Amino acid sequence: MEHILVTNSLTKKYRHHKAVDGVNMHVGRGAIYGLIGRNGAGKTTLLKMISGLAGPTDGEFSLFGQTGKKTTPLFSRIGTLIESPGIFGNMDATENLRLKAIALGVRKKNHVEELLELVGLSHTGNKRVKNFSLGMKQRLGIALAMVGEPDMVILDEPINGLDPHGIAEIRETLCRLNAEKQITFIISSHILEELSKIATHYGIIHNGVLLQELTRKELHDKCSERIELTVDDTSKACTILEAMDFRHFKVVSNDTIHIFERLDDTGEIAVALSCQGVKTIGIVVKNEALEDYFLNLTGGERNV
Amino acid sequence: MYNLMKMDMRRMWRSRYTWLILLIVVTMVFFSFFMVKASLDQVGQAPEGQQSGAISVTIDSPPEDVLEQLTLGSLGGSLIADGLIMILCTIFVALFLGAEQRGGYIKNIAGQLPARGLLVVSKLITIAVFLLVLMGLYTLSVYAFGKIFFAEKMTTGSLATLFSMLSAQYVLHLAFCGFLMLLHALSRSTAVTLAGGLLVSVGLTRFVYTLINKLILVANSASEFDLGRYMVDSNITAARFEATPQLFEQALIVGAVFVIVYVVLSALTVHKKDVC
Repeated sequence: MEHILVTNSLTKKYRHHKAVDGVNMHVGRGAIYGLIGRNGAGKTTLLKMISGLAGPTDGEFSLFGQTGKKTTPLFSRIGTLIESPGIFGNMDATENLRLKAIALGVRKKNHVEELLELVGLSHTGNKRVKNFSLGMKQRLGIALAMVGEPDMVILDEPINGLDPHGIAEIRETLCRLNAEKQITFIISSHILEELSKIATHYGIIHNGVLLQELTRKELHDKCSERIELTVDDTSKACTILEAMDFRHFKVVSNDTIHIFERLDDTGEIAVALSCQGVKTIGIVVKNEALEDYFLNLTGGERNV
Repeated sequence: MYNLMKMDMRRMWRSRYTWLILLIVVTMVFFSFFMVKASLDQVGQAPEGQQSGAISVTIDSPPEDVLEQLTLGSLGGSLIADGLIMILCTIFVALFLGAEQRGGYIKNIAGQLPARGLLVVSKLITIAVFLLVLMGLYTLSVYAFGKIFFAEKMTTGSLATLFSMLSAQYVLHLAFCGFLMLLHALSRSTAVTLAGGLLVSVGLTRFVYTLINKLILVANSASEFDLGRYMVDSNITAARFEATPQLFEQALIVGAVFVIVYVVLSALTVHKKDVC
């Protein structure tokens, strides 16, 4: 996958506090990159830096293959919704979108109307934005980020304050845009369950440090239900498992095998291994949820 | 840059406070003329007994003399010099800049610009257009209400002097708006911009200038240095219709220099500071 954003030791320091500490992030074209982290982990600061709203103290990043000053004109290809939707409360949704379209020099006919349709706000008419519900404001924020058809959209906590119906709508909209227009999304959230429904890649940030980057499949593998088998001879155990018609398993270390199917067959596995002279040190069914995985990775404090 | 300017212009004309401020300037001119007319009528009609012994506000010059001085320049210039336009500029600039910062709209566009300093230039041009409309409307109002209240006694006076005064005042007020922009760029607060602008408008800085002048005099008793001559607000007060051409020239130079200084400093501040 071609990377359209790569950060290299990106750091942001406020006096003695490092809000972002040496982050190396890789975002591929067409990905939906979920940035997971608890409040104050450094998500917003990191997103502000890669959207051109804040300058890094140290490090650099490449955008669409360009680095340094060459990235400046490329920021126009990034749409952002950082922290809260930036809106003029005394104006209606159309006017808010039109102002941004004018500022960016977007002359496409019906662009504003299309965006309103896209986020389900075409019925709002002359209603002032300050009278919108939180969910409507959030959707307008997403529409604002989409002005000018950017190649990459950065959304900071876009589902904050939305009801389940609104969350589902936003999720559907983002997935559709990603599939139809190949727009790359970077979405930060602390609501892991929601993020897990749409993200194709994940970055886990904690105390300003990007702890891990992984694909959806990798995370799924780490979090899905499995039999964790510990034996003294993994190669022989693999042969036995194949003979038992197991196909979906993985050797993760010198003595451990993860089996992702037929979770009720632990007894049969143990007997088969024993018959073939393989010593079973441990066999257990594990089911680690995404949240548990995150908590284990970040030190186990439950305030995500 | 052109697109950014178009956006700011559209926002300005679609904001209620823009029209409200323009309405206020017309209303203020109306009321000040109404008061002058009422005072002059009172002086002319007051009985002898009331004029002696009683404590009252009086106009020294006979009404006829005052009416002879009624020119567009002298009337218009006195209200400008007294800070009316400065106060209205303060309100407009604080609200115009504050709206973008307060609602967070700036985050939608700041990152996508080739240079954030362009935001300052675009806003200064928009404010310059507003100031032109404000001063134009003000001058027209002075002339129109002058004609309504004082009929034929109201004259335009020397058009060349009027033009010099208005030009100087325009550039000085633009510099004052530049100061407000810098204040806003540094503080990112509507309240601070509003408070700072109003304090300067009511003449607070004159005490500071006097203090500095006195300190310089203590250091060098032969010094004739007057800081006020080189400051924007002092020149706004001094550049009245009755001022000399040299003073208008000096005011123009001071205004132009400060416009550049404030815009450069504001642009640098906006460029250097993170957007939040």
